[in-house]
Amino acid sequence: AERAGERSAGGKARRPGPHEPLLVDGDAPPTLEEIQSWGQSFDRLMRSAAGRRVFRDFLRGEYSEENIMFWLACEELKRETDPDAVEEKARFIYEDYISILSPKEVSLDSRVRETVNRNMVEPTPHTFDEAQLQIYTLMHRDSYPRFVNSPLYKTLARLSAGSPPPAPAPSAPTAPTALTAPTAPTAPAAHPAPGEPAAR
Amino acid sequence: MRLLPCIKSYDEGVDHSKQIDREIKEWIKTYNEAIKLLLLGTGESGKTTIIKQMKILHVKGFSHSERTAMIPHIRFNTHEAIYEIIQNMPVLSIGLQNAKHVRAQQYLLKVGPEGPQEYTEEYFDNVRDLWQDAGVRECFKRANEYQLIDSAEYFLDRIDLIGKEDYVPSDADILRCRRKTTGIQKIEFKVKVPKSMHGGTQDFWMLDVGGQRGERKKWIQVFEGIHAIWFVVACSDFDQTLREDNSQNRLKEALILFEDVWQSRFLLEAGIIVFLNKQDLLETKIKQGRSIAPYFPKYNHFEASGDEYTRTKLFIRNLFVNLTTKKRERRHIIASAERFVVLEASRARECYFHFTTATDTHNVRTVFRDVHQMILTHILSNIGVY
Repeated sequence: AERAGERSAGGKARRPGPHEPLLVDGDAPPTLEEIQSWGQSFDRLMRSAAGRRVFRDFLRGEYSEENIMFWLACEELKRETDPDAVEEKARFIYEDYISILSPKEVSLDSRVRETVNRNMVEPTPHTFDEAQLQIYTLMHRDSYPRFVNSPLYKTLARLSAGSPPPAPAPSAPTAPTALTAPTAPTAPAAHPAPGEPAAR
Repeated sequence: MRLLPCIKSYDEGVDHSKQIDREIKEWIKTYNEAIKLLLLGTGESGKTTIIKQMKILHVKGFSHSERTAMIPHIRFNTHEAIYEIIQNMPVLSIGLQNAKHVRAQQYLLKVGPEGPQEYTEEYFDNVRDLWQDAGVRECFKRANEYQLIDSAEYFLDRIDLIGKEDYVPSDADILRCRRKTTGIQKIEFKVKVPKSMHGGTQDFWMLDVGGQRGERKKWIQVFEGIHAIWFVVACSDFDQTLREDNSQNRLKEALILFEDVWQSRFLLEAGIIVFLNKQDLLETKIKQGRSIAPYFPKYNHFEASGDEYTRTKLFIRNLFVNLTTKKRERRHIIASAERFVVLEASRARECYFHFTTATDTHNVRTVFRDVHQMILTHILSNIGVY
């Protein structure tokens, strides 16, 4: 099953998938404001190419990367104008993320799955819209709150705020215990490093 | 020359004592290692609720900011509950009892499945009106015919509280908040070991997973090194179908999944404890006159004493017990990817059962204590202390 997954991703599991370059090329590095906005709004996070990259890294660690991969694939499909390419791309998306035989199947309810199945008779750029929204909501409601409280995001927000790199931070060593607890209690502003402008 | 045997035997003594030291060190290492628990079960069985209870019982509960962070999720639960009910009224040919509520119904349908941009007073007024309507209640009673979250009634009954501007969710509210889980997460915590079991503290790792079919393909990646599986079953689900496949009965799916887990050769070393969960909802359902018999006809021939609820819960336990005592047979393996079972090896193993209500902190505390004791005894007996 593992191998099948790699194959359909078009590369090794740990390498960026086929949709990544399109959304990454030529991006300016995110500003401090941008990074901080990721913690305030899921929409802002998903609108930022750098944000999506960081979020995707986080999801990989939680075994739910297929959700954002599917979402990105749908975005790509919606930009497609050539009807033949639409059909082909839609079939690939179906095989990779909708088929129950795929190791990267996303969790849809049966109503949405039926809609997709009906749409697949004649695929359009909007064949997966309902499914895409359901997965967007799933990431927003389940994964995103953990992301905001994760050491990954907190470190990023702290580093970008201009504090020195992971110096022997006074309150950091115990962090791993709270590692992936559903909701880590401390806000980034709780322990500002010396000279750090209190991050908001 | 004469001394040699003495020296030799002295050396042997040193070796022996060193060996004992090594064994003790090894023993302590095993003992001090974190106990790794894996929560498994179908979608909406209550796995994440158990994680929340661990946070309440063994971490430090929910902070004010964590509570307020739950508000949008609880309000969304309220919305999805009422929206699902009114959407299914025409499907089940149920009308509103009070014509005055038509406006409220149209208002909500216009809001759509994702909920309003902002939860306003007007929004809550409309929800409150609808929840009072007898037609809405009738449709709610038939919730097993469509997909409604288990905490629908709990939240809709508390609409006034939830709608308040200064609403702060209680532990009970947070425990009932439903969010579908995707992927796999770990929480770590420490638990005091009873003095009778050597005292001190014990580290725990608990892994939570998504339970719907697609999510199960990921489970196998965390099977290694697991000490015990907590298999969670929603017993009240006997008359409902799966969200991901509305042709499959939920309890039947749980039985099939349990058998897969029980027989998995990757989990032979792990202890298995079944949590027969949602006992509160099961009791309510049975007392409302629902029966498991139409879905599981064998119930008609089930012999046990007690009231209908007691008999039903014992019957459900029996269904699972039977799977653990059943002779291993080469079952027909369905070619669906979520199956990770390879049928192999047979070894006498015990399976433990608990009737639980995961939203009840007292109940979970007691069950956790029992299970902890059992795991410790198991580890101690493995190294020959007990």
